[in-house]
Amino acid sequence: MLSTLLHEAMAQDRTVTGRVTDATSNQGLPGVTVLVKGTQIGTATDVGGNYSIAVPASGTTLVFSFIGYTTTERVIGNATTLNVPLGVDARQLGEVVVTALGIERQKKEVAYATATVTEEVVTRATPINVANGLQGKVSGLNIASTNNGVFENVRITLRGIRSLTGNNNPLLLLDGVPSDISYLSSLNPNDIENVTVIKGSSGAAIYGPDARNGVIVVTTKKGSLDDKPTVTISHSTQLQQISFFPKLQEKFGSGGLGEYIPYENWSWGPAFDGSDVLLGDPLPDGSEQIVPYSARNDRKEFFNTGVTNQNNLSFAAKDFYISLQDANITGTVPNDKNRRTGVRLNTGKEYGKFRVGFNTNYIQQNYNVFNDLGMAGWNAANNVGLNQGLMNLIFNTPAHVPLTNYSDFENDPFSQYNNYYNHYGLNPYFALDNWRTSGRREDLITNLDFNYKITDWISLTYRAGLTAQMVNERRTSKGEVPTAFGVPRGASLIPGFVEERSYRNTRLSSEAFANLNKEINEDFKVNAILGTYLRQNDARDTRVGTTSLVVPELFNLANRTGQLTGSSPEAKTRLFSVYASAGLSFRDWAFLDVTGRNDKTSVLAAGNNSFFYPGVTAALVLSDAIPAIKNNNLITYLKIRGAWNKTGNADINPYSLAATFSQVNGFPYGTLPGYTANNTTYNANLEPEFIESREVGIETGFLNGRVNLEATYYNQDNDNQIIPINVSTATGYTSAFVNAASFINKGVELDLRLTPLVKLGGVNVEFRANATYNDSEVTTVFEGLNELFIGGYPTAANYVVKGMPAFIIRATDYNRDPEGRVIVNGTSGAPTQNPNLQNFGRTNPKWIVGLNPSVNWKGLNLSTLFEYKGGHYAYHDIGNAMAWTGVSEASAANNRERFVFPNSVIANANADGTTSYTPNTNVTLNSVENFYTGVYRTVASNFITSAAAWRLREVALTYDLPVSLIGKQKYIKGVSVALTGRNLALWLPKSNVYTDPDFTFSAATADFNAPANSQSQGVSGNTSGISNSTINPPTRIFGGNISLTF
Amino acid sequence: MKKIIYSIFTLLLLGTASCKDEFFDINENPNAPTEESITPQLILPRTLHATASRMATSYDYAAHWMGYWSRSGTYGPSAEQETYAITTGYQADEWGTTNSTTGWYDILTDVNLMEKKAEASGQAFYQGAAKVIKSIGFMYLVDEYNNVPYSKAFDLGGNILPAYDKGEDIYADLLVQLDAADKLFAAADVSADPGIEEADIMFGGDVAMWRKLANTQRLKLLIHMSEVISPANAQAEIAKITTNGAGFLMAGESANVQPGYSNVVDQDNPFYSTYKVSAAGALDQYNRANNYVLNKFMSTNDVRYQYFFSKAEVKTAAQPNDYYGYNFGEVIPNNAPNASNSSDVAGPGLAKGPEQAQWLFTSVESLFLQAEAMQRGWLPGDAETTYKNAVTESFVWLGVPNATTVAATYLAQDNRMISYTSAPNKINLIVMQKYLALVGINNFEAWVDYRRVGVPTDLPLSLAPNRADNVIPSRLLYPQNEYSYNAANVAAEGSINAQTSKVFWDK
Repeated sequence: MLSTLLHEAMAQDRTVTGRVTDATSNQGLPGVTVLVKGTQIGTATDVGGNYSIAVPASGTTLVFSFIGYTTTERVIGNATTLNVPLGVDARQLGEVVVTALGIERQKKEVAYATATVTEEVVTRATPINVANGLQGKVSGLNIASTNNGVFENVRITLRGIRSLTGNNNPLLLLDGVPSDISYLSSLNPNDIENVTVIKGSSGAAIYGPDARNGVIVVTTKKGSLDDKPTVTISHSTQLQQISFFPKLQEKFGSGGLGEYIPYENWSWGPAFDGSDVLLGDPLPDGSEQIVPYSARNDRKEFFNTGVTNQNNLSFAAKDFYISLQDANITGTVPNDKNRRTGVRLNTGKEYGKFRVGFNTNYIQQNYNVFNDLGMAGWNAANNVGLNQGLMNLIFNTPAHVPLTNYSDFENDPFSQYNNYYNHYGLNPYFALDNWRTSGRREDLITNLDFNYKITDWISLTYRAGLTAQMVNERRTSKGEVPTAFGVPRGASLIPGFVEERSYRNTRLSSEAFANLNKEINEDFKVNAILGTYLRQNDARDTRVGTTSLVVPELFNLANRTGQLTGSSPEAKTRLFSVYASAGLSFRDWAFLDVTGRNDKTSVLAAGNNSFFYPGVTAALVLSDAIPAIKNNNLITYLKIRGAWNKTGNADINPYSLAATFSQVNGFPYGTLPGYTANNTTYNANLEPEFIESREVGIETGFLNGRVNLEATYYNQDNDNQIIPINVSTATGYTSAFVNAASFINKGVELDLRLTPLVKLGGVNVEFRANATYNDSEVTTVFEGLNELFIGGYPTAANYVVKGMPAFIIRATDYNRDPEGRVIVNGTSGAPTQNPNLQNFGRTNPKWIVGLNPSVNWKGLNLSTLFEYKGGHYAYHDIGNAMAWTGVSEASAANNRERFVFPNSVIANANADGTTSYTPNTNVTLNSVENFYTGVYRTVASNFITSAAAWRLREVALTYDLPVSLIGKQKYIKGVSVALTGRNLALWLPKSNVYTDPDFTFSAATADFNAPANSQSQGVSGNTSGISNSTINPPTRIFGGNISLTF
Repeated sequence: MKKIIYSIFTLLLLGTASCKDEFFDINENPNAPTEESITPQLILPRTLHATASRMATSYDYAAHWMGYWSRSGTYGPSAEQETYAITTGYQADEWGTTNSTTGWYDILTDVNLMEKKAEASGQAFYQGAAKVIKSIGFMYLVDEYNNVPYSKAFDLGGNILPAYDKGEDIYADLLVQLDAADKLFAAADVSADPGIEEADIMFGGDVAMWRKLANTQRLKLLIHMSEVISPANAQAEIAKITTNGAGFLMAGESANVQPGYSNVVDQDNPFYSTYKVSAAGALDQYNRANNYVLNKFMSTNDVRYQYFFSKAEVKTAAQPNDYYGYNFGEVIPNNAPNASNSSDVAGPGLAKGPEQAQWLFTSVESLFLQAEAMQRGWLPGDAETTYKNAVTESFVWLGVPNATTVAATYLAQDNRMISYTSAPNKINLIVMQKYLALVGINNFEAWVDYRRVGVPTDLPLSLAPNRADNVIPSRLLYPQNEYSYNAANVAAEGSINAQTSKVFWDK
């Protein structure tokens, strides 16, 4: 090493420095390759676009090249500084797409819809989760945040769904290795070079069966092009605040039937009058809590301002990249925290024709959060309904209660468990402290690459990948013993418990392929791939617990009475594939690709477990093919493309071919075992399911690339799905895994880029927009069966219904007359609930729109991103919970005076046996309180709203300090500061007084095969638009960051 | 070098490509037993426990409707329960829901499998036990829903949409099955039934007791049909029972299940855990004494209420009594006496401790059934004596000190609700006293008897303000799951109205 350096140093005799900028925006361009013409000597620009290159005496010209820009040459002459503006390559010929196996291809060759997002765009508003950095930026991509908290839970789908009950997660292709999408949340966004989204299933032949749901291709940084090291340090601080709170009434305090009761959880008391009232019971020592009887804002103020601090350090040199990131998050929920610390090393070495690469990424997340399942379990054991989730504790708090005074529940007498004012609800601070989940998730993502170039047109690659996830988690309850004072006030024993969980999931893959690239003659080029892929998944989930700790707060399983509970299931699957692809290109403007893949899996029975699926794609670059367009300044780029393919998969858990038995209801008792049949049965002869996809698209560029428009239409037939159908319990089971159900999924994607939209002097305005339309229709379910339950509540849930989109809400409604008016009782004035569920709207959005205007001036850049989703509906269970306790705004309607149910009718039985309906003008509800705490709650349609929403997803104001400001020092090469905000505003329709309609409650899965665990960043199931009290209120995030490059 | 790389690569390609079938043969379930490995011995204990547990702890709704229990002041009202406006979701776990393991169909699935496995392996005892439990489970289903899937049930491969059988046909077949069970028990060679002494957590493998239970269950089915069966048919069926000579469950012969209940979470006695306190410390704060039945006891010098119900935990100035109940469906002001100021439903006669055995069929109920059968002239014997024995057995069963004497004093009262001689309608008397003897013990039977013979005759309706014209439901609605997943068959049952549609024996 040393000698080489010396040799080079001797050969060099001068240094040229300078800055490469975008010709339109004048922004520094990072990563531009700077080469001394005719040599291998080169460097790359840093984040600020600055470069410094040692030029040998023989060097006369520098070549500047960058993807998407016109390659520019400059004669050096005597200059020591060369500042170079690069113009955008109007024909985009250079744009590269990372495709299968991590192979880069020119975008024009690719015959299916893709979109590339650079690191800069992903990290613009400094998200912690890469998924949040992609929200709103790519058409066809729906990333829904399903809850708030220290884990940013998301559900990611591309082009709607392809499985009714199974996996709709896109494949994560991480540096060429197929990985589970749950690892996306572990990645350090700053490590990312770029993200390419492959929207359809085209070429699933190469990516593997998981690619039927599209692919998110993540390429991480590989280091700089020369030996000159770059060090980047950055820090960001962000604050998180509640941005939207369910609408609560502020007129009535605690009690029932209009009478004040000091210890009620119900807000059905008298109207506030400002007088001093007793709150709770006088304590045994006689002390009383006297508060003014008027509304306070404590319920919202209960939530904290969350703080997220991120520190990044990276070091890049030639073929070497190492980074460290520490993200420390405290939530809006008091005491919730998560800290993610990760280290990455990407390195490679080339020896002639042989190249080896090794990437490894280790991430640790340490978290400590409220375990609302623990609280829900305790409430259920105590026969208390509607008490799941933190928000319910808030709803059990009348408006005049000084909630934020009760944080010191260990010392303050009025805050203690046994003394708390509320007979029917817990002190939320106490609950948050009592039931905790603390744990550590460790991810190891590593891959090893060998590449051997036999000739300049054939190369062989072998790639081994390992992804491993380990979760070690502890759920605890400190426990509480009621006192003699507490018992008659409703306090009961809270047992101390501890449950230890150890989960690990590893996936080992081994892939070998040959890549052939041959120019046959001037007109024809051939590109072929032949390869094999082998994968083994291995998982075990061990849980051991006790529900009866002896010494309080001593969380050792040995500190118990009674039995240990627990289980330790394991799962193992294997998949082996052979695949091939052949591509032919003609004169660089016509492209045809044919692919085929055969998979063999361990999860199906022999005979059904091997399956083949083909695909074909074609693209025509008309702007190159047709001379009339070729030299046209109006239309600068025109490409049409089409793709058809079939994908097969058997994406089911192992052991899904035979029904099983388990011990429940306390069994075994000592030496006595007792088994019962589980509720799901299986078909031993399950077959793989197939999806047939078609897409056509057009890509255009006008006015020298200032206007770019892309459009794609897609259509997918999803047939004979492997799904658990619901069956009558009288069959002995409630669900049966069979091949059933078919549906079509179709849509349109549009992408528009106006770059620049306006250019005035130094001010450059850009505008990007994308829109997605998606629709689906269920064509069959199963013979004699027209619906399937997907998830939700008995009164309102996602269902599959034949002839309807997947999914719709089916929910309880009022009894209505044929005109849809609500029928009320002629005496009580009260409506009744129709016992049969009714169909309501779809739960997946029909439209998703992203608008991204940005302005830059010199080093200053302002970028904003708006996102809209609409055409769908959501059910908010908190409406039910808030009505029960009388805190919802609706429950104070008409000042709780009796009123006539709006637009209601009274049924009259006619003599001839028919029924007629007359409008109800004067029969008022006999009890408003009874109505809201009764039938109003059970009629779920009261809480279904449009799920439409506009969001101000991102605002980022960044400023790259000009070189003149940094001054003439040797160390700092670039400084960038930014003010960022995420989810700053949320605009909802008037009817939605509840929460962000993207938020969806997903039942904690007991299934250990689920990615990660429900508490950490699991990717949710298919249910959407069902929220409840376990969902925290929406938040806005804002802060700033600073980045230094050395 | 090149050659080595080529050959390694070729090996990799070929080596993996030639993966043998054994490589994929890793799909045997390592986590749970499958149907192949399960045996009757492993099924019976859970089945007995789940059956007894369901019978003892899942009929709160009947207890509330029937004047046994009421809601405490701690809870807000349940509209479905108190206005009788039941829905397809109400008590759906009776049938069995998506995640349940203890609905009747859940239990009966295991029973069906146990019967098939036992039959195939010649284990007559297990087979007989399966038939007895099956007759109990389907009796409950018919009594709640009338027509239900029976002959086409438990056949997913052949009947994924199981058709419904008529309630009367199911009852008729259950009697046939019980007859067959008796013959199986009579001929059973216990040694051919592996592990029966341990797995039979009810009678420890005692054939004689199982035959008594089977006979008593047959009698119960016939009594349920009292209003629709001809005396001749009833007598003929009873003759079949009496000729087998095994007899009925008599005084002191309750069928109790005991898997080894102890004060451990999930392993405590179901009744005690549900209505007194669970091993995890959860109290029942919802169910409290109903003033209707409380007054019945208090006004007739009947001490049994002190055994069915508990004293109020905390007395207050507003509520100074030991025993305090509520009126069903009344609007309870939020500051009224709450759960701790009123009488819970797990009195000392019922809830003795978390270790107690769980009754499945009590001697008390058996004696009342016999008394009614005698009164109807179906069963030979003296109805009055058996009636008095039944009432006495109730006092004994509850652990009343000097029960026989106390019962005699009670019975000696000249009260038309007590005295056999002065009662105008002896059937009503027997059923009314059965009603008073089974508070909390068999809440469901009170609802059956109310529908069958209209006793108690003065049972008040709910005071809920929104009850409107509703009366006590005469059946449950089929669960929503049936309407969703067995639509055609449930639709064939027509429109069901819980207020007016009746099960076949309810005339």
